[in-house]
Amino acid sequence: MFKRLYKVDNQLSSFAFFRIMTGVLSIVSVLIIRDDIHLFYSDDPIVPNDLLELKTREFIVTLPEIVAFVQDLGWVSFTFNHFILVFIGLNLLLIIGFCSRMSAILVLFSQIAIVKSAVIFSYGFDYFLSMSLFYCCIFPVGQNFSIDSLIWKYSKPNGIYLSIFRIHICIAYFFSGLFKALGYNWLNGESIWKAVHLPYVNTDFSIPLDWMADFPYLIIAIGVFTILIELLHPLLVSFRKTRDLCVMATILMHVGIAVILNLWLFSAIMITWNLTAYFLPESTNQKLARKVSLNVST
Amino acid sequence: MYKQRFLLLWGILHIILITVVSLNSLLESYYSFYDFKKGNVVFTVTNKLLYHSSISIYINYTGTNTGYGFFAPNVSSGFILVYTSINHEGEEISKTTLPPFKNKASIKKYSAALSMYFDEIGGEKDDTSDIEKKYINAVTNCMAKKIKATDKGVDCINVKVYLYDFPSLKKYRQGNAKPRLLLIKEINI
Repeated sequence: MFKRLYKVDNQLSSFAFFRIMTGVLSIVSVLIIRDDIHLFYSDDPIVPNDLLELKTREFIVTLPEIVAFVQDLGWVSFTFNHFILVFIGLNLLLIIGFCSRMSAILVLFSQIAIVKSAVIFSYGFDYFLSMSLFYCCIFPVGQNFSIDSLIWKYSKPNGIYLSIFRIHICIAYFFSGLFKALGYNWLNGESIWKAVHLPYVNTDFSIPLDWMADFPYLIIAIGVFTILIELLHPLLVSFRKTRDLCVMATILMHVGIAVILNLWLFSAIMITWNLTAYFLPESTNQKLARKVSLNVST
Repeated sequence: MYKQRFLLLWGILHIILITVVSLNSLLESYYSFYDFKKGNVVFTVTNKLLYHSSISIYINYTGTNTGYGFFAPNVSSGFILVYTSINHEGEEISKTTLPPFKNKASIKKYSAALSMYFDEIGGEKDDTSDIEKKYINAVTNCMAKKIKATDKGVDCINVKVYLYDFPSLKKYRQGNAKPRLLLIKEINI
């Protein structure tokens, strides 16, 4: 079993995809609030930093602390905006794969500082971005499609990285499904109905959804489908025959979340995780091996 | 070989921690949702483990300190804050439900913060919840003051916090299609 854990070929292109997407989404997460960034992260945000920091654990280095530290070092004009620019620059280094691991460590540290300095304004995407950046620090994400790969020679990494990543996704979906199954409104359609009618939701396209009330079984089916696809995720992705279908259904679910609940970044990062974990491009050797095994069996 | 063993050991511990965080989060949500007392042994043990300083640092700096109970056990209701600007004569100048945001994505961040008002309407009545309520009041005050600063000639801001209650599927099918706004609290600044 342990041997199988290590035997995952051709994960490098997937990890390169993961690195690039993590960097891109990290930059996008800042740029999409560019006109309002001062309301969340500045020396005069909508909720004062002192108040925001009460919700932050004492060992977290926050953005105001970093800015004050740099100012103390002598760069008096250093502001929150300068830090955001540095953050974007570090993300660009991660995307092009220049000193990938070091870039990832610095981006993770900066991202945690940004998010935790206003933790009440954070949501699911921020946590998944932190996790993605952490995996960029650990996994061999810079060994393909990167500046690093042009400079250094790497030995072939083992498959344990991808196995850990896959187990993490399975735990996430399983618990997400279990959480929902413990409530009573996911099975009678009320949760889906309520979710699509929440304030500040479905505002991007304002898709009319009231017609769904005439088809209660459809709403119930969507709720049950969501629970099943999440709860059974570890089982369905374990078998080659059901894996592709399960991943496609999961991606479809995230597209729905993006379009209707307008959680674009959250959906994008979840789709990135799914594609990285399961849609590995096959190497020529793998393709050949599969064809040979098919021919032998027939 | 050593690197492989080290990786495997780290991987196992990492996965165990993710499972413990998820389990702890699941139990916490379950107890809060069904209004049970949090006396379960598993909850107590996992809670103590996750508050251990080194583990706490690890899960906070890896982003794994979150459970995965998105929109669960049930989808909770949302909140709407109505900020009314009033001039010196006591007349209403303007009314808004949002701070002066220019980007749509900012609304997602703002609405994430509004979930704190659940502590106003539920939970155990102890010192912690009292402190939490004071914190919520302070945050509400600050947000209102920020809006007050953007409007000239404003003497006072009235903030009303509403629970947005959209009719259930059953009620909607019976012809009740109007959402209700239930007043949770009101502050004048």
